[in-house]
Amino acid sequence: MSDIQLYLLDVDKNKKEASRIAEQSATRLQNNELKLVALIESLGEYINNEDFTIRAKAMAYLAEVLSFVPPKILSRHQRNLLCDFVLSRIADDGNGLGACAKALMALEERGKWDDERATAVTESLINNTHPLRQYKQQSERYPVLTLIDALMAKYRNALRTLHDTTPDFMSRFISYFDGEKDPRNLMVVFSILKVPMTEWAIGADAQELFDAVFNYFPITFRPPPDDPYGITAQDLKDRLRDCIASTADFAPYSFPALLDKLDSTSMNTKRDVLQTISSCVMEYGPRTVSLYSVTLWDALKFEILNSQEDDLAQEALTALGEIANTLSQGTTGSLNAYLRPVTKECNEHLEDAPTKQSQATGQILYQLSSVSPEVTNIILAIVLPNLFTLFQTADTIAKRRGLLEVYVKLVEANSKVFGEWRYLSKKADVDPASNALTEFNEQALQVMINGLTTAPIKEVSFRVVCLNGLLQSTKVRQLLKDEEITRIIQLFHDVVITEESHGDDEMKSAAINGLLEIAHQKPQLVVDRAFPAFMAELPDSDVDGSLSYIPVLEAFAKLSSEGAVFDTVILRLKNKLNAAIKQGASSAYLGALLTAILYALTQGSSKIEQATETSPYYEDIVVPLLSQVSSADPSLQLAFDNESTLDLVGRICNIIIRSQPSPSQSQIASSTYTLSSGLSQSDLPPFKLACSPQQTKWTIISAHLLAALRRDVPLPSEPQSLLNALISFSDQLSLSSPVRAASLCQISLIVNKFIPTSLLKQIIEPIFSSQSGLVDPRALNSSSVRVIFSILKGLVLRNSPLLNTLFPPLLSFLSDQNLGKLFAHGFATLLQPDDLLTKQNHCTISGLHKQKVFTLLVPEIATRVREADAETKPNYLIALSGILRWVPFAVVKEELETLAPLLLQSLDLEGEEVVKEAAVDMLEMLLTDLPKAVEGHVGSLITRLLNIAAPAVGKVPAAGAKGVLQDPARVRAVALKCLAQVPASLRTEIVLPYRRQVIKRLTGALDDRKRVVRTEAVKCRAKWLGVDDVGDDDE
Amino acid sequence: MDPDKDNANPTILNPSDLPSRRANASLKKRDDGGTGLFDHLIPAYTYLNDPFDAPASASDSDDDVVEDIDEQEIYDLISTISDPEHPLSLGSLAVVNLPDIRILPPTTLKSPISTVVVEITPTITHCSLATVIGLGVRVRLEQALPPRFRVDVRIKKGTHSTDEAVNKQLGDKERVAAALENGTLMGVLRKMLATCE
Amino acid sequence: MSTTTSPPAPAPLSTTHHLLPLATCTPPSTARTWQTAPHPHLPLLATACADRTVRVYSLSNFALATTISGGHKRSVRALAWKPASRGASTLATGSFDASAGIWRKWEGGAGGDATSSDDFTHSHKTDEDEEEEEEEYNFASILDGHDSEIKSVAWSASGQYLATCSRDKSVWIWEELEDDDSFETVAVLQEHEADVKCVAWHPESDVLASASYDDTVRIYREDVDDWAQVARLEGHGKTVWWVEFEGSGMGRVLEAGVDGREGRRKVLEERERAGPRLLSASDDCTVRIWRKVVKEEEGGGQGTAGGVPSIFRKSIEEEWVTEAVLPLRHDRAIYAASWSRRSGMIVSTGSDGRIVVYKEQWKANEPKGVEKPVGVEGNEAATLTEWVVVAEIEGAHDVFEINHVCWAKRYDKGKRSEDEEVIVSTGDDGEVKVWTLEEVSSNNGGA
Repeated sequence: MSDIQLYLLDVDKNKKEASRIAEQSATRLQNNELKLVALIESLGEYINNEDFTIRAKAMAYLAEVLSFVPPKILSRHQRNLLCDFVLSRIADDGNGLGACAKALMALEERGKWDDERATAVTESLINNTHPLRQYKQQSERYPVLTLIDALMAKYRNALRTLHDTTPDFMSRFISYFDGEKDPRNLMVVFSILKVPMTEWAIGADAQELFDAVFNYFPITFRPPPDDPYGITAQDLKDRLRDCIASTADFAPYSFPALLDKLDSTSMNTKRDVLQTISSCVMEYGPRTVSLYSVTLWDALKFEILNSQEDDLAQEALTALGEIANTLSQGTTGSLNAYLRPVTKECNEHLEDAPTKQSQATGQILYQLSSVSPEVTNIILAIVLPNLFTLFQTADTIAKRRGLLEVYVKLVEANSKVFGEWRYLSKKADVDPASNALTEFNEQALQVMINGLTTAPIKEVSFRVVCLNGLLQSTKVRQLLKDEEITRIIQLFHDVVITEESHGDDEMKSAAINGLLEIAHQKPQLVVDRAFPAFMAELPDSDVDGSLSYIPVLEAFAKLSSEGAVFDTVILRLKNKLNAAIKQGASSAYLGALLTAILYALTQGSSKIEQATETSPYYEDIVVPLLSQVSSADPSLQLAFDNESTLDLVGRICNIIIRSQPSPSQSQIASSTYTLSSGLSQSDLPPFKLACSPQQTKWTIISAHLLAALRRDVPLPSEPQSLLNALISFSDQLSLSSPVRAASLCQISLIVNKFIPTSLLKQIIEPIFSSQSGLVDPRALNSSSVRVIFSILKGLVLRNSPLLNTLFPPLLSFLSDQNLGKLFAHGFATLLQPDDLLTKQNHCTISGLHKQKVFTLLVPEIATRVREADAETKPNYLIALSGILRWVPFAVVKEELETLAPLLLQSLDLEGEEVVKEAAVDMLEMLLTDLPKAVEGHVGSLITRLLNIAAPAVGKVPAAGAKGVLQDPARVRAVALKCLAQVPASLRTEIVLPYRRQVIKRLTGALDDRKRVVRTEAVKCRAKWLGVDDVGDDDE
Repeated sequence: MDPDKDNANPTILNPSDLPSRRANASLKKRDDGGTGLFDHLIPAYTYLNDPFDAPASASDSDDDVVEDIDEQEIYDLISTISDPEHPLSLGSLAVVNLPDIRILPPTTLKSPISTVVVEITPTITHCSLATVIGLGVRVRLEQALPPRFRVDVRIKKGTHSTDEAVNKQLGDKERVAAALENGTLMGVLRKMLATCE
Repeated sequence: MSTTTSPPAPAPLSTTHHLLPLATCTPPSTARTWQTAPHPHLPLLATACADRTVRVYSLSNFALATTISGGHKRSVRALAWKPASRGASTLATGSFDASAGIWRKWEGGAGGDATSSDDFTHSHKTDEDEEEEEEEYNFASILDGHDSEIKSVAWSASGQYLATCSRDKSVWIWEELEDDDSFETVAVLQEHEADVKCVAWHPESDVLASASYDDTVRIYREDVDDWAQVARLEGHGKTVWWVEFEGSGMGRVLEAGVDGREGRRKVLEERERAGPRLLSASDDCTVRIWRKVVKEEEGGGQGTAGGVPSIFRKSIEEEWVTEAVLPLRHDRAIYAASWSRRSGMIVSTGSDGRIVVYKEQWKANEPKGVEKPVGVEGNEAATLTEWVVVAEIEGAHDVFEINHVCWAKRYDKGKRSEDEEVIVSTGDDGEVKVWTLEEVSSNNGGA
């Protein structure tokens, strides 16, 4: 059988095979085994077959063959012959049009045509197959469209000439595509039509051409779920928009049509229109836009002044901005013509400020002023005089506020176009001197300074606006003179320092942030002006016991977050601290100062971490502090006698030291325990048990120092002995809890950081051996249990295999009458985050340690709890939730499903609020991430949560009566949060049965003693009221 | 563009001026006048409350200190309701105002019933939505307040052309109950209350 | 809390009786309950619930006997048992869905209760009825016509007429046709200018009273073959929530106290001629007692003798006057008040959650031209008798509003006499509570 026969057999049932055959024919052509003539002849009978499907398939065959023929095989002459042949087919047989188009495409790809050819092909297509929509098959039309698209792309001139020379061509061309509906085809049609739009002289045909595309506006289409072509509605929108915006010739039709569609009630249409308007404005150019600018303004303004959807308003603003932008590339006249009505109307809206529309006015002016210096200046010149007149005559503060809000907007825009002190404007050629704002500056400053200083303190919003206005002004490049900025700085710190506190102190925080921002623009001015003022407010001593310094201190410390002034802040604070120490200030004041320093350091931690070698901050801060702490001078001893003061000192040293490289740390390490006391280490804790109370407290500092050290830094003593020393030291029952915690923490640090894995086993195991007293049940007491878990904690973080053997025996203590509770809490601490055992402190923290603990303990506990008797059961539950709460939810998730019942039981524990809280949290997570895990227990979950949140069923707790058994407010609140999550996560039919009961019970919580709880109760109840009782909607 | 609105261009209060409970008052009263800027710096060190000792109920020692439901709390409940016409809250439109909220104590020693009186101020005197707004306020409070409170919502005297009629309607328990069974009206109310979360 | 101007707190008073909680019907409804009606002759209570159902409780053990549901699309607001309907229990319900429903159940299954047994004789039902109608209240028919929520329904004494009223300002009178279960509208009365809150029938004749949001009470009677308003009672300052006629011949209650005094006898005779009085309860926190002024031409008691229209046309206008205003004990809207057909006492309740019981008695000393209570028409009774509070209870339904209160025959084990009465209250908490009225010993309540 000939290839064509085979092809015809397969083409319907097996496309692949058919193609293969076509390909093979192509190869045979190539190898001259098959003559082109023969091929054509072989087609003969089929191409003329009375069955049109056969005819079509035959053409398809030819097309495929040609597409497989490599270039240069067919001679130009052959190609021409074929081309004519195909065209003749098109002329006298509509069937197989798609195939014909493919064939032509193939031919064109195999050799560029001359203009005549291109023109001929186009014409014959348009003449013989007009309109294209008569071909019902998308697959028939598509190749034609792609072909034409290709021709438009490759033979621009030829086709343009065709248009220029043939009068009616354009209209036939346009109508040719009428009624195309298929998205894929439309994509092509749009791109075809864009060529004449952009490149041809369309004059008379403009409207027709415009309508051809605008008919599709606003285009909408939802791609089928499994759309193989991945054409989105957005693609269509974009191409359509490009077409509409393609040529200024459309303006007379597009703008009216678009504005007409703007009245649509569909938000999407509106959005589409607004975006299209923007792109038209961008493309059409100043001359055209100037004709429509005012019309557009009149329509667009509504979207802003009476906005319903913020994003629509934003689109409209963008459009207005674009207009100004385009016009400022044209004549000043046209720009003025546009801005005149705009500013006029804005001025009118200002008159009834503060209203929705005066706010909108602010946005409009902001948007426009941000366009260019030119626009800004025009606007300022028209709006500001009016604005200030209104301000002077305003009868209410609210109105003045409304006006200033607009002014501030203008200043913000101004710094965008004229740049800030530290940032030049994007536009290179902007001359700050030309800034029209300068002219109103003085008046504005006076008005705002006045407002800030004279308005009553309760006029928060007004004063905030004044403050903000001043702040914005200080930013604008070269707008204010340094004296003026200094004046403003002073006003700000007056607000911070001297002004009495009001409400949420919005003003104060605004002022502080103001100073920060100014410090960013003009650091020196702030340092010179504000710092002395702050310092003056900070006493050297607080013998009078007043706490007035705290807000000042807070404010001052905040400034440290501005890199430019960081060092100065630290320096001043340090000096103040020394002064305070000399003056024998209270430990409260010292504490405050130290906290401030610590805060500053954390703010500027980036600066500290850069420090290579010995950081200057070490010499400046750590060294003096340590010598003061360990000094024999009684006054100093007194100053640093307080544990939390020492803790702060420790933190400060820690934050500075920990980032230093090992070498410099090594020099410090030796004095970890001696500090700079000059005493011998062996006479100090932990090596010596009975020490002076003060030296004992140093343990707190040494803990922080030890934490700061890198792993490779040699310890002041060999790890094992140090560890043992610490163990026996911590085992003293006499220790104050801060000191104990510190030494326990040191144990964890040693175990985690300083014992190499190689030695770990031989050092740790003996400690847990039955010989050593530590785990001997008879000897166990609260402090030894603490030691045990501090060791475990160190191991847990480095994910040591030792745990596999250490845990099991310890678990069994949970069922111990006396020690059970203690161990339960111990297990609960294992994963509890600790702020010294961290990566920054160079601890070994395995990414998997939580999972490890989870897998080692949880399943075991879960099984044991089931056997546990009523008395010890709580211990298991405590341990369980204590661990679970810190394990990443992803890990717990699957298990939680089975643990849910246990969590529910933990909700019944008396007094274990922490446990309950944890359990509730987890249940809430479950609800959000894995509802099905809870579905089974909804009933008991709801009841338990209600019992926590709204105890004493139904009864309203008599105001003041303290529910003895009631959980603390915090827990009641989270329970309600969780309860609120229930209807949010579970299917209606599941929760509906509980709706009435819950709503009724919650009235109890609505009357809770605590506001926080009530707030949650209200939210929760609203959620449940929202559960739609399907019956509720009428019929 | 929505000309059929009763009041297309209402005056808007600035959030800063709306009455509010001092932000941290509900948590911890700061007698030092500080903002607690540094608090997060000193994390509750494990030793500050030792996990081994039964958790110090000190954390909630003030739990029996009763915080009564006061006018501000009522205000916070209703000021966040949004106006049926504008995407704005009744608070910022000054439809509800703190001074126009009163809590009346029980009238007799034995009576458990307190009364909340809220006077609302429509944005304009002929606002046809006054009733809906009033209804919204009443519904919100009936949902959010314990049942020992009776809720009386009224239009502030002289701020509305037909205030008496509206008041009578808002006061009529039966009408309110029936209104709440009306799907369409409920829809509007839900939308208004949606912003209360 | 702000210093406030709260209504004058009623002075605590020493009452002669105690209201003691007897029982709360169980289980309570989880939704608001509006009204409760005691069955005319069975130990049953029917309660209208916001959850679109009617709950039928047993008065002998206070347990839920049946829940009637499926008829209404919105709250059931009101209900009434058809009187004089032995053999079958017929219940009318009025709902916010603007329709009224008629429910019927052959007695026997009712409440599964001993006392109902004596009705079998009257119940004419075939065996196959037995199966299907066990325990079932059947939705017999639905009365459509009102444009909006129905707020109250009431059967006339004879059971011939059913009255309904609605927010659509109209009162409808329906008559049941012989062929069961279909009703025809005999009158639509539209005198009221606003919601009609309550309708009530005269205990003897076909006289209807209605109360409204327009602050007035209206009286209607049939004139020839047409129903018409015969009186417009003004006096309340706010919505009138409730009206109810006094039982017939209640004069007897005061008989004892007459002890031959002329004035007192005259009062009772006058009353006999005027016929049962009317009480109205209002949002203005008052309960008023209205008395019909007897026109001279009207022969003794004729007006009350079944309302037979006389042969000669005479004005059908009637004059009703406020005879008394009960002592002010409520400081919020009074939603309901009920007149005991046995003791003549009145019980009232409302938004303030109080239940108050009042009783009329002869004034201890004959007043000599004392000043009359304000707004009260001059007449003997007003000056010779007085209403006093005999019992009062605060927060009867915890903190919730009480929507309805009424008297019912006592049936439970603890009852002490055949005709002992209990008070039944219905609240927003969905609870129906039953109270007994105990006399405080060592004090026989005066009179």
